[in-house]
Amino acid sequence: MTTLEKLADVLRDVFEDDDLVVTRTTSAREIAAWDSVMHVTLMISVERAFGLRFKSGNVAGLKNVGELADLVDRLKAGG
Amino acid sequence: MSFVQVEFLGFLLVVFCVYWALARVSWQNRLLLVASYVFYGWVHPGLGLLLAAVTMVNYLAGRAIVSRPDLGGRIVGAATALCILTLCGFKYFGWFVEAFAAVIPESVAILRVGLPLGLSFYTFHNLAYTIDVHRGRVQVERDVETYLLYGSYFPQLVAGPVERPSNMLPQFHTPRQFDVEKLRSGLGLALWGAFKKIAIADTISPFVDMLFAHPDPSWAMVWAGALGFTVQALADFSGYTDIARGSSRMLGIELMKNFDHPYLAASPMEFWQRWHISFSTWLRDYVYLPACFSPFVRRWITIPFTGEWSPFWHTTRALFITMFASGIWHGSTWNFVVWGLYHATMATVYTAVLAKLPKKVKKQKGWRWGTVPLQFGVTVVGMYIFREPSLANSWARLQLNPFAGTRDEWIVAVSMVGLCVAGAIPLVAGLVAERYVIPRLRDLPVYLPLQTTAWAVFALAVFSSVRTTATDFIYFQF
Repeated sequence: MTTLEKLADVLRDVFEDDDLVVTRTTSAREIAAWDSVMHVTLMISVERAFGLRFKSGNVAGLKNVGELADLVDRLKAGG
Repeated sequence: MSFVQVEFLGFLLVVFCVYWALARVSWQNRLLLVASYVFYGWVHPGLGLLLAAVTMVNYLAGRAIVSRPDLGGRIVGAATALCILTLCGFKYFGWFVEAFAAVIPESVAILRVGLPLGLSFYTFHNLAYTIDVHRGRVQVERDVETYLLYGSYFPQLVAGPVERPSNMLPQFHTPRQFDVEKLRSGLGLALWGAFKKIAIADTISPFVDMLFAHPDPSWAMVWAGALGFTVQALADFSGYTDIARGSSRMLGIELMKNFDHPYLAASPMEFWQRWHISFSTWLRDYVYLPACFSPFVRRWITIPFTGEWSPFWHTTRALFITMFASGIWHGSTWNFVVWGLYHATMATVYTAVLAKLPKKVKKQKGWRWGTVPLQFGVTVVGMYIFREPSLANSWARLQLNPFAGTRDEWIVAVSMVGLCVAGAIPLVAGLVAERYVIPRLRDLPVYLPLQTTAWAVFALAVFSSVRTTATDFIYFQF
């Protein structure tokens, strides 16, 4: 399972939408429930799914799921 | 200098003409830098020293972070502490003197001064740079002139938008060519902003002041006043922002959108995505997210006593911290604290109750028709708390009988509501024009004469509404 596929599962779980189609360009603009509160819930859920720890500087300014996937890959690689 | 002073028109005209006569971007930047300090020091030239000090602290902090990345966190902490303590000194020293008048010597009390215009805004604007350099989100700016311009750029200096270095610094480095389309668009936006400020906000303002100053208002008068302030606040602040963005666009520099029809929001979170966007996102990135993800708060991610892992508890706590900070930033009176906590409570209630409703309910056509008025009601109550400095008054007036009131009191309240509707009509027309009319007409020959006619109407309304005692923008006091 790729990082993007695993992230898609997390997004479907957090936003309680099994039909959610997630691509690298998916962003908060396309998901009505993705506000600042849900953003934090999502980030905490991603941390648990991947066994990571984000810093506030990591999660501020992410533009889309693709950037989130790159961040996850970078942190998994120890960057 | 204020955007609604006649001097600003002359100032902008001179800057505009000289600016576009200069061929090189470095000279254009130097002109903008000088113009920014003239603009800021117009009434009190000494204030330029404070602006330069705040800007230089952050410039040097950025340089120091790249020189000593191992000390980055401490450098950010020191720069933030210095800037925030300066801001708090100006903002709360007066309150401190009044609160502890009995024990503070007169020699200290006379040091009390008013809040320098725009200090909050350019403090946040400059701190965004230092924090983003530390986070690696923006390259350090090595050219001191360009950074000084970033820190003091006059269109957004005194009341925002609170810009980000990632948007502004690249624009200051890019050669800018005169573009007649940008001139037309910028001029139209600035005129629309002046119309909202002078013809709508300043017209409603005296009536709102009278209703809030009334010693014994009826329930209807209280809420008519709150409704009036709700319309006034939007017209005033979004008007200011449009003048700022329009003036900047005429100089070829694009500032971020600060308002996106906030009274059409269907939830508290959506409201903050539409109202004072630059400051809301600043709070999100530099207060709310650190309040969620800093190692210091991580240890409390579980609910106290139960140990249960809960994102809801975690985000709610961060939300209250953020909105408390927002409230206390607006002022040192308790109504601002209550206002911040009120909005945090509303957002929490929404997240816990309405957001949990089944998707099929929220996808119903009527959902938005029901939630937008509900959120508007939440906003009006918030505006009332914001505008009324006395909590005792607020509490007493929340308990008034809605059906009580003399005939004259009802006439006053209904007249105020009528004035609000009259003020809202151009705002709604502006929304319809922006979304549906302009996109369809933009490429047609009729667009140019229509646009010019609209400008003439705005200008006429502005000059016929302007008063000799022009009021300041509401957000100048923050």
